[in-house]
Amino acid sequence: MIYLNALPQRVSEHWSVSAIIDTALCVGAGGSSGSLADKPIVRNAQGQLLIPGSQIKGRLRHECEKLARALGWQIFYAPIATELCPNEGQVCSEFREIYQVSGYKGYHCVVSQIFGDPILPSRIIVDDFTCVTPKDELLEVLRPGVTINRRRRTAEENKLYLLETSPANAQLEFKGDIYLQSPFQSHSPDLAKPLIFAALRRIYALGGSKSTGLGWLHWENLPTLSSDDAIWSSLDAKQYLANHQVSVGGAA
Amino acid sequence: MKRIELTITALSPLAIGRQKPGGSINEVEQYIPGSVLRGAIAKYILHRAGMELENLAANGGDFAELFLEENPAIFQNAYPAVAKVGSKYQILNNTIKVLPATAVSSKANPGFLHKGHGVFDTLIDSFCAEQFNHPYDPSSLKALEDGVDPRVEAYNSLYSKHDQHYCTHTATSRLLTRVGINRYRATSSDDILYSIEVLNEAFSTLNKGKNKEWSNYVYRGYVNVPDNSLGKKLTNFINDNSEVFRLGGSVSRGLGKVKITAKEIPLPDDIPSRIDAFNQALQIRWQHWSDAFGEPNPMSNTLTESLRDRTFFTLNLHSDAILTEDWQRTTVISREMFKEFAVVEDPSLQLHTAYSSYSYSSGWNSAWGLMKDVELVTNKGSVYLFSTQNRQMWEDALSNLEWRGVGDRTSEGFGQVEICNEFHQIFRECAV
Repeated sequence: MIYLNALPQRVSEHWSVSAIIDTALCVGAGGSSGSLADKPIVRNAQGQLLIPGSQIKGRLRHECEKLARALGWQIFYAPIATELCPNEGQVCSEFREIYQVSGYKGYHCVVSQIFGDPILPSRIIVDDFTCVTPKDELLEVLRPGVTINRRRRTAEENKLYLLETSPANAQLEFKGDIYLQSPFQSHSPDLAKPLIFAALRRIYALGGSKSTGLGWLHWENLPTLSSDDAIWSSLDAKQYLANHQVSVGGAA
Repeated sequence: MKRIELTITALSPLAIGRQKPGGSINEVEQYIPGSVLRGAIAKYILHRAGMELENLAANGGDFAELFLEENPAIFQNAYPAVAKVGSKYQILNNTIKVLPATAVSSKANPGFLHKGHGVFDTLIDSFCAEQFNHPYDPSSLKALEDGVDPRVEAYNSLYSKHDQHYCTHTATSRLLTRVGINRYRATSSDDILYSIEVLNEAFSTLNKGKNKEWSNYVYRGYVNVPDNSLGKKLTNFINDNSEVFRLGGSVSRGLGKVKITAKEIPLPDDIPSRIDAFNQALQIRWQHWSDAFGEPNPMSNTLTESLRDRTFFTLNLHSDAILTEDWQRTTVISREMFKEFAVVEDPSLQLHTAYSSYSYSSGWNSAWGLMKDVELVTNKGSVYLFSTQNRQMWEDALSNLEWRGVGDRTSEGFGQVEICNEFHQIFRECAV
């Protein structure tokens, strides 16, 4: 029975985070027109600079995948839909039980159980991170680039391009929210928070041309988890499995 | 019975998909369909209760009453409340309506006056012309004045009346491009480049050189709840959780963030006056046609007589409708269908004329985890002209129809109707 005025409070946790761009940012908006740049920068309807929620969620997932894989978990490869939905034979036997979610068929790795896959909805919701500085207060910056012909050591033909970036070294602040909903399985330790917090700290740059110095950033107001929190010990796959087998045995 | 007005403020772009299968671009609806609103609210209630996967049909409390019972709550479409008044766009508190399919405007410069050559309705004139055996080919008087092509064509839009002026309500959209990243190469992945068309979250209210003022897009929709106490509870629930709802697709990736506020409003009870006004306009117009074309022929004479006996009324589709007759899809509400919808046995009922067109609609059902069937829908704005000799039998029934709607899936906002839209009284010589 569900009564609207007696619903339990299952409010999702949420954190407001700021990304401060130390260099210049270049998040390309494919399909945009009206700019001289070959790669214009993505903006919202008001023309404010933006880091799309999809990019932050994607980078967070990537970092979580790396961390979880290093901690001994079997992680399915994103963003390919077929690889995110493995069959029984593709899942290691020790993970088969904990990679199942009641009500959702198939197997879902620890990262899919946070970020979703073609079958499971995402637990995490990432808003677009918007630059607090209005459009009119920022100059339009076009950064020219050219490819060098390695043999002649001169500019290659047809390889002059213009990137639109945010103003360099302006310490622009991008603000956004990250929401985390309650886990699908309440009986097992929730690895979402430690993974996400650690993953956020591993994101040093966003957008394009990171290797050439664009998009480097640092975070402010990052959420923390105390170092003596018991959840850290569950991050190790071997330890988690050992504890899980004990609890399953106890329940049986 | 309670009617709840929902004011939906877009806080991020909305990806309300229109055409799921085929194509590499997901087109966007220009409004928020009732099914999207219903799904978002139902999903959040289930999430809060932690009962996403349980069968609540038998014993679901308020949830079953709102969504699963024989007479569930009806979530109507939410249409954009932003219109251009004078030279600037603003959010209006007027009732947003759908122009009837019979409304036309100049081909050369379509639109309401001040911007275009004006819009007028052709239902009553074309009905009279047909009865007088005359062809009816309207033209735009303003276009004739301006010396441009006077031909007219159907003008489909959402509109409202603001300070005696009519204005068009619209929402603007833009295209977002996204790409999947190959984890091995850290470059864009093959076959995962896609574009999403989204409704813009903000519009410029003031545009003076560099000084721009921005406001978020607002949409207005209604929920009809059969039970008074449940309506009160739903209003409080929405207001208590106004910023948690997410509408449309890609909600975990920054899209679909909205703020919803709910307010109880009185039920409209002006159907008799709307019918009177429509019949009065029809009588006057009929008289003009009689004056212009001399003595009516014997057939018309009979019609003139019967015009005095009969009460005419129109049924205007305020949202797309899913209509079925003899197990087959149709776009015309026949006499028999209408009597069945209204549960009235009236042998004197006649269908005089129908203006309708069709399109297809699909969607995603979160509860099933499957795509909804592709349905053939009758487009909003369709008009059906009926008449009866027993008006008193119909007044309550028509009021019920406006409350409930016609056809299938009315709880998702399909088949919402309006009786005797006032725009039918806008004639060619006084285009607005």
